[in-house]
Amino acid sequence: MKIADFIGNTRLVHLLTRGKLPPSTLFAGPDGVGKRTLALLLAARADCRESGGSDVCGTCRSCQKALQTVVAPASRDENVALSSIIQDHPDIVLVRPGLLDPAKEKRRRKPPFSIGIDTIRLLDTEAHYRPFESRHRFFVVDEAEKMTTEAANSLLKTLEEPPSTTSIILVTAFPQQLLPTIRSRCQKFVFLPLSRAEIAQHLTNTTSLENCQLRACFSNGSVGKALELDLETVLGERDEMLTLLEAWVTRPRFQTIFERCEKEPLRTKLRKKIGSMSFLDSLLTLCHDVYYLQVDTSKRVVNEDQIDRLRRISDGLTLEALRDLISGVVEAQQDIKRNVNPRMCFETLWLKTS
Amino acid sequence: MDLTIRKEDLLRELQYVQGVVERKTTVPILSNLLFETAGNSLVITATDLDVTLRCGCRANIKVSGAATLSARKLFDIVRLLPDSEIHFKAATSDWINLTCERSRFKVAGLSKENFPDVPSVEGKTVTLPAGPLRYMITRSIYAITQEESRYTLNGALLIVNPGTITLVTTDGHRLVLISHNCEISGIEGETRVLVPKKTLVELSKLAADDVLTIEFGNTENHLFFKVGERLLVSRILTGQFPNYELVIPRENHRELVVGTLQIGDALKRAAVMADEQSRAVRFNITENQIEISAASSDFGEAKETLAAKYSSEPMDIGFNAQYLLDFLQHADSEEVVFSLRDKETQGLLKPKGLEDYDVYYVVMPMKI
Repeated sequence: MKIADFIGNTRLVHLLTRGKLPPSTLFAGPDGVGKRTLALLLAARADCRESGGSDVCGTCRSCQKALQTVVAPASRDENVALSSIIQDHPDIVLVRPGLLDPAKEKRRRKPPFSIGIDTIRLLDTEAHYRPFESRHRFFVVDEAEKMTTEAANSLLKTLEEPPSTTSIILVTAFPQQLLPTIRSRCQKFVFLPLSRAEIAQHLTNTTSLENCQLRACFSNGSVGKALELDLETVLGERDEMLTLLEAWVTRPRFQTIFERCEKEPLRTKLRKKIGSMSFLDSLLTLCHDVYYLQVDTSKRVVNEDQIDRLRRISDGLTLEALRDLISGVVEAQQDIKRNVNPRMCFETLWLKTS
Repeated sequence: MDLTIRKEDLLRELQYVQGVVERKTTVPILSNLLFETAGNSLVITATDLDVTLRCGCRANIKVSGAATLSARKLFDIVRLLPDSEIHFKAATSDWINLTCERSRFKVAGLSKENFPDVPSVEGKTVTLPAGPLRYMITRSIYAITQEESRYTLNGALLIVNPGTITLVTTDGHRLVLISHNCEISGIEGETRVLVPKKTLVELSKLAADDVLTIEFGNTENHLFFKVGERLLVSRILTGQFPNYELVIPRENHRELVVGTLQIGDALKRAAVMADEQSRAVRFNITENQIEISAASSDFGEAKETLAAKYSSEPMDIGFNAQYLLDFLQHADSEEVVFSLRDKETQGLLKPKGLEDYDVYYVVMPMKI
C-alpha cells in the first residue's frame, strides 16, 4: 500500500505529506477512516530508502518491514494480536491496548482494554535512543484515549519535547477523552468521515464484496465499518424497523407496537441490551432519513434502496411527530445504556410520540 | 547454506551472543540469531536493538547463505552435543537441518528479511587499551541510575582525549569520575559519547583477559567497539549529560584520611541500625577521630569510633551509608581521602595512592 492509494481526506493527506511532521501529533477522527494506517504510512515514507521521501516505495528493506505493521493487528498471529507493542521495523513502533509480553501473560488474564504505564514507560525509554537503521523513529499510539491516567501522565514529558529524531503520533477516535495536558502538547489533525462514493469505490477496487454501494451507505463514512458490516443482519433489522414504522404511521396505537414486539425476532432480541441497541440504531437512521426527505435533502438518505417506502412514511408523519420520535429513540438509547429494561424502553418511546 | 563447524568454536561464540539476545517478545525476530556466511567463516549476529553483537568463527563452507535461528534453542542444542563437527544445511523455507554425529535436528527459523539491518560501521577508529577500560567500567558502573525515566543518566559518559580516557557515571545523588592517562593513537580533539549501561556490561565481558586493545569509533547513531574478531555496536543515548565538572567540589579544604577496610567495616555495622529507607549515618569528626552513628526510631542506635587523620576543626555531616560502601568496595587502596567543607556541601572521596587512575567520587550529604 502507498500513500497515493490512501482513500479520502485528500486535503489532509496533502497537508501532512507536504513537509515534515511536527514532533508530537494527534490524529483525531471517527473509527475506520485510516488514521492509524496513514500514521504508519507516513512513518514508512520518512524511513524509505528509495523514494527520497515522496511516497513509500514498498520494495526496499525498510518499507517491507514497515508495511507489515500496517496490516490490521487482529489478523496477525496470536502473540502479535495480543501484544501492546508491535515493532516489525526497528524504528517504527505501534503501541496499542494489549499485553506487554503476551507469550507469558496470556494464560493468566484477559488482555487489558487499556494502555498501561509499563508500555508507555517502555516507549518513553525507547524514544530517547537514536534511530537504529533509519533516519527517524516513530511511535504511533493507537486508541490513545485508552491510556490510563498514570500512563498518559508519564508520557507528558516526552510528548512535550521529543528528541529531534523521534516523532510521536497519537491516534484516537475520542480526542475529548484524552487528558487536556496531552491534547495541548500535540498538533491536532482532524480526519473527516469518507463520502459514500469514496467508500464504494474503495470497496469495489480492493475487495470482492457484493453490494458495495449499500455497504457504503450504512458505513457512516468509515471504511472499517463498511468492511466489517454484516449486511444481512443490518438489512434484516432495518426491514423489521421499517415495517414497524409503516404500521405505526397507518395505525399509531400502542397495540401495533405491542403486537410486533410479541413476535419473533423482536421478542427475543429485545431482551438483550446489545440487540435492542442495534434495533434502535436502525430506527434512528430511518427516522433521520424520513427527516431528510421532509426537508428536501434526499441525497443524505442512508437507506437509498427503500426510498419509496420512506417517502410514504414521510407523507404520513408531521415534522413534530418525527421530532418526538427521534428524541424518544435517543432517550431510549440512553436509558438502555443505564440498564433500564430494554423492552420497556423500546415500547414506551412510541407512547411519547402519539 | 551448507557448512560444517566445530562444536567448541560455535559454543564459545554462542555464549557471547546469548547475553545480547532480547528476552522480551515484543519483536519476535530479536530472539533469533542471524547466521551469514562470509569467506570461510560463519558470522553470527544478535541484537536487542540497544546492543548488537557480531561474532565470527571459522567454518568449512560448502554453500553460502543466511538464516535466522532461535538463540535459546540453538544454545541448548549445541551445549549438549558431543565434541565434534556440526553440520548445518538449509532445508526448504527457513528450516535448518542440524547434524552432529548421530544427532539430527530440524530447527525452524524466521525469515531473515525481517532481521534488523546491522548498522554499518565506517569511519575512523581509535585504539583503546582493553585492560584499563575494563577496570574503569567495573569501578564506575554501580553509580549508574536505576531509574529508567532518567534517560541521560542511564549510561556512562565516555570522554576520549589524545592523552586520557575518562568515564563519568551518576545517578543524581553521587557521581564517579575515573580517568586514566595513556597515549591514544588516531584521535584529534575530544570525543564525548553516552554509552548505555548494557553496552558497558557487554563490553567488559568481551574485554576479557587475553584482549589487549579495543577499536572504538562512532557514527551519527551508533557507537562501535571492535574487540578482536567481535564487533559490538550500540545505540547512542540522546540528551545532555549533566555538567559534571560543576559538581566536583574545588574548595573542600578539610581533609580526612582513613583506612578503607576500617571505615568500611564500621559503616556496615552502623548501617544495621540506620533507617531502612534513607540509610542515613552521621559522621562526627573530631581531631584524629571519627564517630559514626546511626539511629532508627523503631530499632535503636549504633555508634562506631575509629581513628583517622584529621586536623581541622570538628564537624558533623550525614551520608547515605550505602553510597559510601559502594565506593569503598571499589576503592582498591588501603586508605581513602574525604575532602569536606561543611555539612551542606557535597563530599569528595578519593582512594589514596592509586597510581594509574584518577578516581573522584562525589556524594551528596544528608540532613540529619
